[in-house]
Amino acid sequence: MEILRCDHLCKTYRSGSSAVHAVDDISLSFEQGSFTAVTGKSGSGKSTLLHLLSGLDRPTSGQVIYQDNDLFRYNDNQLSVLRRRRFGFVFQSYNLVRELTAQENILLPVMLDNRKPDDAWLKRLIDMLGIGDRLEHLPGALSGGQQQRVCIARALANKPAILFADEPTGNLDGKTGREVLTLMRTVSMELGITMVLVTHDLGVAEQADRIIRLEDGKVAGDSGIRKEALE
Amino acid sequence: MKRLTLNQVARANLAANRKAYVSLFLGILLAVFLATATSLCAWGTVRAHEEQMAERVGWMDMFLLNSDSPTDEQLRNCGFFSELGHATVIADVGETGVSAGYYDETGARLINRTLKEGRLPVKAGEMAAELSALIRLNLEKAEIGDTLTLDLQPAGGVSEQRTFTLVGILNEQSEYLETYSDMPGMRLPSLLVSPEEKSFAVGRSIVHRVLTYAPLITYNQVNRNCPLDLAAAYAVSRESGTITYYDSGWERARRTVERIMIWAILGAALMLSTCVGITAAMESLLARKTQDIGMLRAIGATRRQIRRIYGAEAWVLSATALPVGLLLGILVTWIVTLISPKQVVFSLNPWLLLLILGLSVLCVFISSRLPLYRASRQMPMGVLRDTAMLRKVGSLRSRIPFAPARRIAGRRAALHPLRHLGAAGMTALTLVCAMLLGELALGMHLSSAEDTAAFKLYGGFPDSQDPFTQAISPEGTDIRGELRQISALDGVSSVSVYTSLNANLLMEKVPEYLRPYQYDETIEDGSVVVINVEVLDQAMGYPSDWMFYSPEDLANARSRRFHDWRLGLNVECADQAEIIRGLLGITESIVPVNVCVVDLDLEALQQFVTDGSIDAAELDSGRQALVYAPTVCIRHYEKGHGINRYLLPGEIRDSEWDKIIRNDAFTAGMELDLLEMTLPAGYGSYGYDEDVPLEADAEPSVQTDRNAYFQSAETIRTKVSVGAVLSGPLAIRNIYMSGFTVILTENGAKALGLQLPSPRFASVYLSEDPSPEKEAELEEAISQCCMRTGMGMENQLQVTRDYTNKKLRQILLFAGLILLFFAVSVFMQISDAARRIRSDTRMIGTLRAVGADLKTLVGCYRLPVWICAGLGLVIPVLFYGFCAVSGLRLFTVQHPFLLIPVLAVMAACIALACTVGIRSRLASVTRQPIVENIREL
Repeated sequence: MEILRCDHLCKTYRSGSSAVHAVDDISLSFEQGSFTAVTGKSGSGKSTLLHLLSGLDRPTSGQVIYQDNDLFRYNDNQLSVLRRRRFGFVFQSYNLVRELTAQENILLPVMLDNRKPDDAWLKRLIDMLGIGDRLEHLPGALSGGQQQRVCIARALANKPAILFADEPTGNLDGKTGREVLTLMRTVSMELGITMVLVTHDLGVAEQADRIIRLEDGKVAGDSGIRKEALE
Repeated sequence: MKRLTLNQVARANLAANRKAYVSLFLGILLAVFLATATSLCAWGTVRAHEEQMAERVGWMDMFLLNSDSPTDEQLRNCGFFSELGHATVIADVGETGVSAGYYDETGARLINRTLKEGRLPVKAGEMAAELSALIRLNLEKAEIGDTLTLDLQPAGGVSEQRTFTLVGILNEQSEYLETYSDMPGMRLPSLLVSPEEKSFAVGRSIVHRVLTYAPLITYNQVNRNCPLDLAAAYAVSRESGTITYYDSGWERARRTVERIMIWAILGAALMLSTCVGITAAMESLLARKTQDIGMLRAIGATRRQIRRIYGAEAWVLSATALPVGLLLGILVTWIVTLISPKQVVFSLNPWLLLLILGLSVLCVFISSRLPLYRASRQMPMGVLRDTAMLRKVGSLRSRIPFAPARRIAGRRAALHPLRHLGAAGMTALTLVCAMLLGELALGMHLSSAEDTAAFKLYGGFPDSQDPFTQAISPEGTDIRGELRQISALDGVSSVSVYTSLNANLLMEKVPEYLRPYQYDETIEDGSVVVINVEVLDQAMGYPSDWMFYSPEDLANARSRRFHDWRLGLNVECADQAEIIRGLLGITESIVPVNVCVVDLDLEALQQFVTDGSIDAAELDSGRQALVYAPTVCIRHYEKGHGINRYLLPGEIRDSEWDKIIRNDAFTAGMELDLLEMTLPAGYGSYGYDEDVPLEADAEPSVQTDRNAYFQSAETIRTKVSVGAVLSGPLAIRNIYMSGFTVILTENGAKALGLQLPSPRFASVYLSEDPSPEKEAELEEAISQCCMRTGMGMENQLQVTRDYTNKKLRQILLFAGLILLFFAVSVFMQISDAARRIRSDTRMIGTLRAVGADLKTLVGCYRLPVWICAGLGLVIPVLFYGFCAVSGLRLFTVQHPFLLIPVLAVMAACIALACTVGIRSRLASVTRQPIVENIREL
């Protein structure tokens, strides 16, 4: 079942007379519960595509359809509600709120939604990510890897429908990176979360159900959902 | 290769962060502007008062009447005086007490003779005069250009007639510089002639000296330490605008301080708030630079260099903001002086401006130093991790669940109080200033006169010098008849007459209640004075102590020949009472009391009744009288400004006062034995000079004189019972009570057979507000009556109009200032929030990405606004409380129930305006895609 789709998505950056087509007429569809990896060289438009798909950025043209609704027709408040309930986002540069402790950062989307946190779920998340002893620390006191794991926990805290991740393992050593990825994968499968992940690490991409390769803002290769994943 | 200097780094820094520097620039500008405006206004108010007073008494501090010693030379060299001028009286005009003369150059400057009309005399035969002098000479109709012929009498010479041309009318000064000397020429001239006026054949001119004190010298110092004989000197108080025998310097300083106080408090509060503002701006500016500072430290910059690089910004900004702020301040002061020219004078004192500049520089220095110091203390790598923040983390409390906006705002305030709450504190302070201004405006507004009289008339005073008797008004004048005519005028609803007469209560024993209360007080200059609080309100200057002396005491006092004037008066009173008792054959003590005969507003009087009841019929029939026997509450000087208050029993809290004098002698129903002694007017005052000891052999003749004096009095003795005893601060309509008084109505006094002297005051009430023509007509008619009887008149309608206009201007001024404060607060808050929002875009982006809506974002910035509104409310309330508890009487502090709601509304308005401003700022940030917000700079 399709959960997210983009039609003729374009994003053009203009500076003076020259124009850079970061995303150039991309149309894609994502199945619910699938795990898609977007790869490509630096500057190929992976991150821009991810930002557009998750509604963090506005396209120059084209549309993003989430469950039959155009994302960019929503007003700001509706989008906010959508983000905190249905989307999770893992940033490459973590983007934790400096003034809040790790735990508070993780709980942020739940609290923004004014809901009671699911303690069992959060405990499990925290245990899996191995950050149980760092919860009372401010992000400034955490290492890069720890910050990244807090960021992942924050993205999953609300049991989102889609998890967007921009180089989630970029700052982690290979072993930890693999562990984190496995974890994300496990959790996603368990909850039926759709995952869209941007990476330039082919080893990471290998774990995905589907690999999309971008070149100069265009789709240069789409593996489609691979058989072993379906099984 | 060119060297990269620190200045270049600083300059590049400036160029790169223009927007952020604008707010710092504005902060500094505001500091200088506020400092300039407040100090110039403070200076202007002092100058305004000085100039007003200088119109009355000039710029002199002292004048010496006709004496050869000390000489000019001695005066110049003794070090106590800085300037010396001369006033020469050439002659007096007959016996009128008006002198003609001229000043030398310094004298003219110090005496500050200003012209109301015309010009000063320049050649012989010309004259300029004060209007009051012309009136005394019966020449009030004289106009400029008229020829006046005057009988001039030089000292020690013969009278000579001279003719002058009137060339100018001078401002009134002699009224304020009246020396009350009967000797010829012993006053400053109120008729100004030219120095070229030819001298008299016989007689001489009298020269008075006019002096100013050397800097920092006061009257007290002159009085105590000056070796010269200054017995003939009169000190001048430019504070009260009159001649004084007190330390005018000290008094002036005190009043000046009082006057400046309000401006100083305002200025200090504003300066402080701007300092906090600058610190906050600097702090948040440096917060954006932590990375740069860390980098600079990492590549080897010393702390000193860091301070120099970033401190240079503050100085560059100051250098540009200083002149602009200064000019702006001067401009605003100028506008203030235009609105309120009487209260504030536009005057630029270069020293003051220099002081302001110095203060501003200091303000910028101090407020930029703290953040700079902290920034430069950070460790190279620590900067990148923001160690300061991590250090505080131990004290954080993390409770789940939480409201994200509140948690973030609270956490930020706790971690960086200066950065996030600086503007809040600043706004709170401006609110406090608004409160002070409001209090001031309100105090002025509510303290208006309550008497609705349209015209006030001042009648003759009983001019008796003796406490036991009274002289009746000059014969041939029928003031009461004239007042009846006035009350018959069309449009006049009533004429209320106030007469006071000196009578005596005959009592078996003088009650303790009437005994004066004496205590010693140390005043500011260290000297001890005896304070005498009298409950008895009677003949001016007479003591009531004598009633309590034993015959032995009096005999002792008499034999010591009264070197103390008060003791002299005591003995004199006791002697007089003894004679009267002998003459009239009475055994009781004689207590001189003030009897007030007045139209009573019975309803208004009710609230002051402490015993008995008021019955109009009984009062009018002369069977009953009212007694005002106040409870006097006294607080000594050292415990709060030496206050005496007349309070109602219910208002008295014993612990507040050092002494309470309660009425224990007068009750309703008791009988008063009244004795009135009346002397015809024109009887020479009873000659008794307390300075000269009585010679033993002189006593018999004095005794004879006294006997003759009191025998000539017409004596009325009558009895009346007390209807009601009144107490409390009795002041209604035209009655103001200042001590123990017997109150009668006019009918009652007549029924008792008392002889009424001429009225003291009369108030004319109108049935409705008159039209301007009607008012002029009434004024004319009433002034005719007054002219015939020698009464003075004041058009109260005009006074009220002037007063209202003045107040309106003041309130406008204050309202403008409050509005300015309001605008400044809102501007500060919003610009501070805008600055923080600019540096927080990444956090805003993050919050948006995890689903925060605009409301939540606004919540993150609203905390300082609420804190400021809260503080702005709490501080004034605390201030009120403090004033109430400590008895500090800086402000009236009488209307907290009126002012606090107004402040609450104002605080709410500020909060609302700030929230709207912050919201629109945030809305413009949220219009951008989130990616734009979180993009690395």
